Amino acid sequence: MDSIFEHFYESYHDDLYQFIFYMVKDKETCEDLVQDVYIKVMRSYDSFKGESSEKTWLFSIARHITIDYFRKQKRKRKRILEFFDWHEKGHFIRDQHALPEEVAVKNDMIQTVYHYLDKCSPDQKSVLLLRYMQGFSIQETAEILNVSISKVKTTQHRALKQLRRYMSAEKLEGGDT
Amino acid sequence: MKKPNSSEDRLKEALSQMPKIHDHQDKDVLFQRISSKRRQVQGRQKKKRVAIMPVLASVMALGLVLILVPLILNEGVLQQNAGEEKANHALDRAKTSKEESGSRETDQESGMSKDSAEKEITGETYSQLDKVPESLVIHSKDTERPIVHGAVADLQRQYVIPLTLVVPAAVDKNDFLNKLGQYVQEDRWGTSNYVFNNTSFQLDETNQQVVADFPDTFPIAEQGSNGPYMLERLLTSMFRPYQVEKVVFTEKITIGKIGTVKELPLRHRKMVYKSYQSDEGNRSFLIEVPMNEQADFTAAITEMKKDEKGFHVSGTVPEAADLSVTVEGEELRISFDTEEPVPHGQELVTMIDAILMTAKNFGYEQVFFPNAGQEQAGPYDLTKPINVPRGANPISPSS
Repeated sequence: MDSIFEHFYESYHDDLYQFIFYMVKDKETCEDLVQDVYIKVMRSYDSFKGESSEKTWLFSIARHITIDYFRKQKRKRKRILEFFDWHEKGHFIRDQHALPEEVAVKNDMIQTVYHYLDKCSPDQKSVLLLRYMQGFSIQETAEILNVSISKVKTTQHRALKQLRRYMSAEKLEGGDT
Repeated sequence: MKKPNSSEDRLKEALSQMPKIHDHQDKDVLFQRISSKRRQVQGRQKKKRVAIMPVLASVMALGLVLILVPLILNEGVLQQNAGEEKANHALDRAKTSKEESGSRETDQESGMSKDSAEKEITGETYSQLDKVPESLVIHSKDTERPIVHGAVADLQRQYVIPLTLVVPAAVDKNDFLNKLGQYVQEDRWGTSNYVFNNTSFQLDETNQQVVADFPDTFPIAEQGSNGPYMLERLLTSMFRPYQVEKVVFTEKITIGKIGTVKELPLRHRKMVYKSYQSDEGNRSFLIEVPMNEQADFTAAITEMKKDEKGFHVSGTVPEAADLSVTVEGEELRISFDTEEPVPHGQELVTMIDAILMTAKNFGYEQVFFPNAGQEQAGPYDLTKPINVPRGANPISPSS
């Protein structure tokens, strides 16, 4: 077994899996993207200069691969929408993934947050997951996303605001959107 | 002012308490998938690079044609003249020869060669049509004679190829177990070497264990992290069919990162069976590909459709086959979607072989194909449930 894979797997696999899973919310896709991350890590480890920590380097790769996946999905979705002319009602199509068992047994608040994470943009979602689930500092999050510290702060602020807005709207309506 | 802050705090707290999602994928399986994917990507890149060559070659060929065509045309005129002269001479010679020996002989000769050519073509075609589909398993009806299980790795040491040797009823299985290496033809089969040539096994089915005397140097146990994993998989494949739960070593043995041990537990793992044939090999084998432990049989069927070209492994269930799975006790029912064509001949027999072996691994005893649309496929009677086989990849002292 490749020693680089072994090292990264033993040190960070769980965190990596959590991050990608919450980004894409689908186990099969998650497994696929995790494989791509390891391939990229093994291929480009020689070029890792050690300017950031290994973990932030790994997460910047993970984030790139996930965003790339979203871009491809968006292009695919656009082609399908154009084909079926669903532009007008496309927003009614809901996320079909079942709630994972681990989330389903948690309280309403956790389930609601899980559900509304998708209302955030991929960048906002990345910031929330990196900051609060993974416990990265603002500085580290900025390194992973390759943006300034102030940009992280703004994105984080907007993401939380967005989540709050949807959650309070749901409370007012007394149901799901 | 306080309210939004407190709701924000609750939100942050909820985010930090999001549950951990369990990754059920085994580390070794993950690594195998990564290696396979890596090879596919490299293969694609190579193909892209190679694609430039035909374009360049075509351009150069076109250039050459443009230069050579005028020359050839000129030469062609000269050759045509010379050719006509030669033809005239030949005609003259033929006339003379016909006059001398008569025409009968010539007619007979040409008639014979036509006959033999016809015979050759027909023979070949019939041999293809008559080819009986080959089954890669030992069927459950052959229960009289005991069997000995062996195992080798594929050439890239990613997967295990189980082997099954039927032995005479009166002999001690251990005798054959310890000379199994004599029957393994790695070079002809295109597999890795049989690693237990200098190992002595004593199968103790009563105590569900096998006692193994390993040689002092045993390289596979030390080969990186894949070596110990492969050693464990080979032993599992050879001895789990006898319900053996552990290998007891006569002396402590160091097995890579597993460490120095006196015993090695053999745990059952979910496997699907795909087809393996290397470029160097003269036969194909069913090969064990590990599955996620949570996988059900529908997931197994999906996995069995996947080729792994980098490892010379191909799927045993055709990509287009739409199969649905239902379970009735220990019987598995595999139905074909009637709108898709059901596979035939060798493809169908290999698919049934692989499904039966996979079903056996998943703990089922019988498999029924209720709407296969044919009553017989190779050795299989499809009108009733089929018992799972005794083992895969039969070998014989002369194979």
